[in-house]
Amino acid sequence: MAAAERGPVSGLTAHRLPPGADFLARCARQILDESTSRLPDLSGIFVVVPNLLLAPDLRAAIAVAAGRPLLLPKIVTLSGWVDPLLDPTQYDTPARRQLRLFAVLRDWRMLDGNSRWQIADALIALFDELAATRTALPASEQALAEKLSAGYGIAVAEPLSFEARLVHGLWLADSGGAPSLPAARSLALRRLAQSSSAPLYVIWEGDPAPEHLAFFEAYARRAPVELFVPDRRGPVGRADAVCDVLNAAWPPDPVEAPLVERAAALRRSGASSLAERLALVPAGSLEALARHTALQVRAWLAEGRSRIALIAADRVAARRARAVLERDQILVADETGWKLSTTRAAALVDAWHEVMAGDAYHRSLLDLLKSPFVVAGLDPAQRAAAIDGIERHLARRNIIAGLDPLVASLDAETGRPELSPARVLVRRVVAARDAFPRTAAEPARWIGRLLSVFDALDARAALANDAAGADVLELLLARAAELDGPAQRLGFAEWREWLDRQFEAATFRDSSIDSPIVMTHLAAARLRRFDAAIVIGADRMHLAAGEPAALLSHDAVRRELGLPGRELAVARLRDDLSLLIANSDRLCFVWQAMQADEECLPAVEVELLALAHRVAFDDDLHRPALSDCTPEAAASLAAQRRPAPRLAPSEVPQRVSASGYQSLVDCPYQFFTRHVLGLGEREEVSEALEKRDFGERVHGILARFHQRNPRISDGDPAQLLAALEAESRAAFAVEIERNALEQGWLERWLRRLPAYLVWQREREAAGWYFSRAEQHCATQFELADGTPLRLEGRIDRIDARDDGKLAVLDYKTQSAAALAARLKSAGEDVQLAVYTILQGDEVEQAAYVALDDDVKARQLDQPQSVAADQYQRLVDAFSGMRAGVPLLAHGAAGICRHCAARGLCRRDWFE
Amino acid sequence: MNAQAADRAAAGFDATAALDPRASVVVEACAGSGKTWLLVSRIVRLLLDGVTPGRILAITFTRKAAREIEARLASWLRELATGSDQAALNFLADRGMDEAAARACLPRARGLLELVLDAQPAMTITTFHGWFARIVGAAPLTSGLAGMTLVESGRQIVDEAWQQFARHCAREPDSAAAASLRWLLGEIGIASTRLLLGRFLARRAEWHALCEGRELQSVIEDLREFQAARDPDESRAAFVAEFCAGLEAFADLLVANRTATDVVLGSALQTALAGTTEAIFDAASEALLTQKGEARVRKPSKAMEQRLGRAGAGQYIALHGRFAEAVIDARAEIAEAKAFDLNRHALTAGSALLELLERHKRDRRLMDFADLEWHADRLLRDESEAGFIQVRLDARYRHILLDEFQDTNPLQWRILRAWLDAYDATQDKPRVFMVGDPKQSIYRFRRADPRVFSAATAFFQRDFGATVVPNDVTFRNAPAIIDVVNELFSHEPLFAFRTQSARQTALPGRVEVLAPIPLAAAGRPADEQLRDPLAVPLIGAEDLRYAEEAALLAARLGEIVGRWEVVEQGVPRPARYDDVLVLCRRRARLAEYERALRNAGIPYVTSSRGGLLRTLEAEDLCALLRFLASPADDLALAHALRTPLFALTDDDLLQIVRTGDAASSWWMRLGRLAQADTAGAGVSEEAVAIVRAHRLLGRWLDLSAHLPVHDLLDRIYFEGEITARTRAIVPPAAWPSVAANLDAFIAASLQLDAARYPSLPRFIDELARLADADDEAPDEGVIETDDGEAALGRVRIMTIHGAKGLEAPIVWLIDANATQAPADTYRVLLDWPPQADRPTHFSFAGRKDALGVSRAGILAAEAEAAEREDLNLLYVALTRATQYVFVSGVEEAKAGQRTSAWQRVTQAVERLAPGCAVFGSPARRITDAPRPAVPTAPRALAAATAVGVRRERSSEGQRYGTRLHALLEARAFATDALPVRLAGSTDQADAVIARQAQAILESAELRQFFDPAQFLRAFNEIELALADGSTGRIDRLVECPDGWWVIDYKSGAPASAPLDEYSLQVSRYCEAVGQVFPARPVRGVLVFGNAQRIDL
Repeated sequence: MAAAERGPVSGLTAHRLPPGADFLARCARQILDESTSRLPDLSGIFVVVPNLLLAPDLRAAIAVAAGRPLLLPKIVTLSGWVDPLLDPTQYDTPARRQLRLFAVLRDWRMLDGNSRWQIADALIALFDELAATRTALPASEQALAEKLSAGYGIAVAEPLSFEARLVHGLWLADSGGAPSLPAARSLALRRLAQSSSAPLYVIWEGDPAPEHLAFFEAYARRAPVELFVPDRRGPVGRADAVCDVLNAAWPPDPVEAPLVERAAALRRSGASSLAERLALVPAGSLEALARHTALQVRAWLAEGRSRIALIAADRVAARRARAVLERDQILVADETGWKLSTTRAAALVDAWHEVMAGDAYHRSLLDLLKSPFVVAGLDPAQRAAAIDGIERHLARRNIIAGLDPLVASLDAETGRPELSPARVLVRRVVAARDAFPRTAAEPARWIGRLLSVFDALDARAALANDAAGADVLELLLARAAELDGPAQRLGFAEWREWLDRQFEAATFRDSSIDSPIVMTHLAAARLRRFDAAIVIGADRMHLAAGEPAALLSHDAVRRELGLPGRELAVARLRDDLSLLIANSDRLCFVWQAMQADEECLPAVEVELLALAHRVAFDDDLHRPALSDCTPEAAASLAAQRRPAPRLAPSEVPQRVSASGYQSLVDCPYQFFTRHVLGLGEREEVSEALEKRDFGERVHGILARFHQRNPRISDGDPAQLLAALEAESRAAFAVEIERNALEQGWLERWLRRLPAYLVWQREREAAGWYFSRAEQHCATQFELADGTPLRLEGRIDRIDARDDGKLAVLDYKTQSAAALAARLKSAGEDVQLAVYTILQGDEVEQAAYVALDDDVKARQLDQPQSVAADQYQRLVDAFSGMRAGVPLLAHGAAGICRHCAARGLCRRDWFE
Repeated sequence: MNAQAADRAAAGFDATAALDPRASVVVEACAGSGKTWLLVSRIVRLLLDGVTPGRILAITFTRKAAREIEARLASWLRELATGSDQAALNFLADRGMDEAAARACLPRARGLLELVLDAQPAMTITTFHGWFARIVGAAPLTSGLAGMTLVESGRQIVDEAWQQFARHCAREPDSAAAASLRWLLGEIGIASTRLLLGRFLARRAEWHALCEGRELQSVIEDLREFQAARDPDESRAAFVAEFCAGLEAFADLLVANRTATDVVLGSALQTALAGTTEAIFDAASEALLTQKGEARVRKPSKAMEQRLGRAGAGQYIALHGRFAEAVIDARAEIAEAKAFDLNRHALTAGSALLELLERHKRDRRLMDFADLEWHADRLLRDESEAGFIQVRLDARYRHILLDEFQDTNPLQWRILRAWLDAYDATQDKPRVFMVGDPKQSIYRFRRADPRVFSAATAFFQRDFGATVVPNDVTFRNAPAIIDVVNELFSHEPLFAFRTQSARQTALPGRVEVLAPIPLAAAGRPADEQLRDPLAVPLIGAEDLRYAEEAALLAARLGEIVGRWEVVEQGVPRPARYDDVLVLCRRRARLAEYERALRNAGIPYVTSSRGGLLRTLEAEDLCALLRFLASPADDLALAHALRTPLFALTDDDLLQIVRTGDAASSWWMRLGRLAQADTAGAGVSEEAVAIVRAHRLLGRWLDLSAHLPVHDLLDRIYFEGEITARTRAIVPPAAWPSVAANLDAFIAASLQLDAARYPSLPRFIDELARLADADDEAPDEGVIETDDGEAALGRVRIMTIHGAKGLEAPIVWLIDANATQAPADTYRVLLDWPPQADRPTHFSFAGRKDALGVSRAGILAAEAEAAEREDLNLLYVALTRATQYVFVSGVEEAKAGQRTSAWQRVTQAVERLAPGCAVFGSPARRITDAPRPAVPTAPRALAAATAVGVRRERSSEGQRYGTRLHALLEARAFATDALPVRLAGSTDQADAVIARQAQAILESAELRQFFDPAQFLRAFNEIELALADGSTGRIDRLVECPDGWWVIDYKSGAPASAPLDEYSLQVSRYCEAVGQVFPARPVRGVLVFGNAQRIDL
């Protein structure tokens, strides 16, 4: 039976009803009973609910209870009721208020510049809580400091009095001027209470907060107010045994008896009614949790339970579970939503800011261009061609950043019509940049600039057509409207931070799914009926009482100030869980018991419930996670085998370079991927010089130097050194300009110069003179079946002796010792032998020149004989390929470690 | 359980003293002695003693350990709450309570779980970093720490700071920092400079502690003084000035000595003496010293006396000795100077870089774990703030429990002391309980210093009156293992070792060392003929040795599992795979061992931290995502096509190459091929695969633009049937880890993807970054044991570090014969004696030949600490085994300086059992033990039926209705601005609706519904209950003089509207309204956007 209490004011009656399936029905019945005189037109009365999600259930309950057609009461939330009554010019919107406090905080020099947004938000949360509990701060900052001192139990000293000064000062600033939205609402409610005479029914989830209670009481002075709240207190052993267990586990009022005794008292009442309704399920992993959730939902559906709530305490796990459910075409309507900042649409905005902040850093630029909203109107194939064109061009020209260099170099390639889509696209970006000056401005002006960027990028229509994109546009327009007029000016970085925070604070809900299965949070499930509910993430980290506002969160301090302590939040959590349990026919609490290799303990409430139930009924309600078998291996596929492709004769390449031959020797399959399939590593923008680039530059320097100074023995050493140094500095200038760290490569090389010149002199003394550099050579010969094979290579340097003998040299930025080792493994290293073949019988010397540490040459022994062997092997190998010998993947581990074809060869899986 | 207590007491360890809640206690406990048991028992005793949970702070080394303590506490308290009286009394007796006391506190004991769970504030069980985070969280607003985000690793920020630093140096090339940076770049190169300064940054907390308010210059000057560094030219000049004359004589003697070497050296010296100081010095060095920089060996001989005469020979030897010594000294001075230069420049550049880094982090509001440490240090060392911070934390700790204390570093110890100092002098000091084992200190790389343990012990004894309770009784290991441990470590002088004893005296056990795989085993084809690359693979010598050791491991495990007997809680049973723990020091070669186990069909799990993205399965997915982000990336596409998702063959790839011209991308060619295949009549089997690949990839390409990466991956997994297909392709032994990694990858995507501003390109960039980031890289998946394999489990392979805290019946130490110390140039040399308040020395060590001598003592101490840690690692490894230990390794081509673990164990076993290589009892064997059958997988569930529908984003009609209402109402009530813009509205749509609203309001036909003068009353969007209990909503309900009108707004024009459907709904509403207001007629009317009305 409903316990009705008269409030202190005559017109307010509170009805405390047991929570459960019939709660709303009882409320409906009561409303109808008290409105008989108005029937069948109840449109004149108001029912206030804490959450509009409750409205459909309540309407249905009234319709069913009435059993006849009628006009239903207006069902409203408090804010939904008063917000249309507010005049937006008369209060500070949240954005205006935040900006105003931020401006005030700018005068607090003691604060770190970048913490001001956080502090402003923390203060707003604190002030709102003060307002909600109708608590005022002490009148002066000294009085506040004393309260803090009493709360912390220490004397007033600087850090503490600073805190008091700040909080108090800002509180005064906040309450002066236009009221905040919560304050405006509160005023409007007061006016409403003074003007309305319609009967008011309130269905509330528990005892109303002071500010709400104040409104109900004020309203009750003019018109009757009936308040319905669920209350799980009641005599032990009554029909609803579930509440008994819950009360034993989570006593609604402070009690003396420990849980063990409270629970033991239930033993007498017989079997547990909870055991068949509720399961506590530890899952071994994220996947296990998701699988269990999906299987549990399917099992419930099979039992005919379709109104199912997924309570997403652990948002990440819930998202995983939802994806697994969707595999079975079980769609979930998401009531919780996501931060707007996590949407693809908002990412466009950030991508744009990133491009602006980083001077069109190539990765940011590509990220922007690949946003589906950019030039969405363009034909997809053309769009893809444009983006790909830019991506390749950036890599080919190694443009790390800068729009202008990109435009200039694209324009320079007039002979390449295939680049024209890329040019058009880049021009759009340039137009967008021109529409987006980065001088300090008011937020509304910044928004205007951003909208022009959308237009320049042809993104606006696509955004409007995307659910989240429409929200982004709406947010921008709404902020622009409310912040129109003089306001705090923000620099580019501040604007970015401000907008980030707007996107963080806004929620995006995808409303495209209609489903009886909803994903929601615990608070939004209050008083709603479900056939079944599953709490995802019932662990200590995810299912815990909310933390108080970040400022002045110390419990004792809060008590000093008159704010509720943490126990209120804990009680709220337990009441919410009780409501959920009472209102759902089936329940499951699931959590990841292991995360990676760490144990993850169940939530305190879960643990207490399990303990109470175990004491009372010898069953801790733990149930194993449901799991289905992993799918059988697909029968149509065979185990991975060592690749061994055979080529048709026509597929065998007819030309091979020194590096191609090396690749064949290293691993035939690597040769296959590189030189038959033609798959090289994709060209990428290289942001820092690598050793290879360093080597290339050094080769160029030496080539140019020797072409100018083919003989140095008779030159002036100082002049030669200066010339070589100048050549070297010029070769690295561009890179150093771009990235000052590249100086390191130059410095390193400069230290080698004297040694290099000494070596070169010695060489000349031995009769070898520089002849040619970077020489491209080729020769052709016949394979076993008579087809020709062309062998090619580019030789770093060729020296000649007066007798016509040649030396082929290859510069290496390695140490002499490493090169000697390389030459020792005869036959495995083919480069010098190939050069010897290419230069023919006159070659007497083939050597690597080490340019690291020491400058030394390391020669190949008997180059002509080695070359002959290598020649024969090359011919044999290519002949073999033409004859169908397979190209086995059998590289040595050292080769495989850096092989780009790992994914094609799949060595990890076939041995 | 009572028996256990008696056992403990009998074994010489009395828990009563350690658990006394009123006493401060330090426990130095050996491996396997039950440290966690003791710590959690102590917490229980504190709670029983009336201590409220909020007063207890327990700090341990890892989050995992903290969770374990919490879980253990919860499970004990659960048992106390629900168990029988006798069980509870036994439990308390085990923990040192006499019967009367136990009985007295039984009621409290039963309520402890609730007390702990409900506690406000809660008990704090955390790590040092967790605790520091609380301290930083309590920092005052003025500290600038508000709203900081903690990042796992500062690597990316460091990279950004480097870029800033480089730019700064380019802008101001004359600054000291720029000059130093240039010096470093030229002298040691980019890579070493970054390495060196990176290590400096990693030690920034110690650096700050050392400097503390001092100028950089003065620190550098101190170092100069310490190193007594002078200009190298001065050293050379001094040498030459002093010995020039003597050198001439010596040069002449060398020439006169007539040996080939001496003649060359002597004449070179003679020539040089006419030249520069530097030339003289170099020639003298050459003449006097060997390549290694040691004095040449020159001994008097008869022949020499003949050549030089007796006096000449005497002078020759004397001069050589004197000059060699002098030149060695001079060279040492020069090396010292070089070392100082390195330090000066590294500190100058490093400080500038550090400053930029700190500023950059402040701007971005980020901090990493190292920052957390030094912010906590900074806050607590400021006396005015320390007290404030203590009170700002809700909890007032009266009991501090410190676990694994041997892994604490000096800075953490300093913070702890500052915290303890901040306790008000008027209060009681908190009680301290510290437990640890310096023998198991293995975290030098995280700056842990086992000496802190003894310093802290002394401190707590002196200032807290702590009792020291050693515990050398192990409950874990078999006596045979303990014998080897005792034998081995009591012979190690670095190890102040107390002999341990084993409690389980009857447990069989043995230690076996296997002969290292010899070098000769590495066969390779003769070099005479060139290898045919198509037929003969190249096999490196290195690979074979490890492969052979791995094969040995696999073979022995095959013999052991199912046949050897292991004892679990006193009960013998056949060994399983999960009884085996394979331990290594370095993970570099693990792939080799995994391969051997895989080939032998032995299930294994490698607990590999940070290795996920380097697995083939993860690379497969990365390649697929790369293709989706850049469809022209041919290599990524080819890779994706070879994955199990599509499993195309090399022939398929060749076919793709043949299709189309070189200019067209693989994706275009694949499309052409798929089209040709579907166009043909009969689709061949290979073509099916290509068509399928093209279809799926095309779909995923479309999805990839909009779908979050996690959702995209989920579709890929599902539609690509990744599980079934992968399972068919990977070797069965590898499947579980591959499956776990697939799960781990999608979990990682979920984590990464939940961040702000998601996009596929950013996700890919992030993956690329993470793959190289050691400390942040995602871990490989954890294999869940399923019922099918629970019977035998899987062999665990891990590093010794990873095995800390674990135990297993069988432990196999692989690759245990490595004697090479890893080359470690360019590092920070730090000396921070744990009792000191700050480091006493901070410098950089460069290359081995440029270390100088002034820091020899510090280097030696470091080397000793490193060797000590080697021993600790071996101790940890051996004590993981409850029964059997194997040690194997390979012979090295070149022996290094360290004694290998294999050598140490071999020596100990040799002393215990000469000539056997095995110590202990032979394992008991079980003959023909039946292998447990693998249970069959449960049946798959019946297919689910679809639930829910996806509809067009807020249906057009609905939006229209809402919008039209709003406009009509606004117009009708003469406020012309719309209060809110509606989602997705565009100016154009607004204009259309506004025109329509205007038309409707102006329509003479409709005026009766909108002109208040013409109707009696009107409701907008009125909810109503219908007779059948359902509910509905009417757009506008108007009472006119002629009766009620139910109005429904419709977009468009009547011609194209489904009028039947509309009228059915309206008539239901009319009927209901008729029942509500039976006195008057009710009619329905549809109002269209073109202001037309249709009466129903």
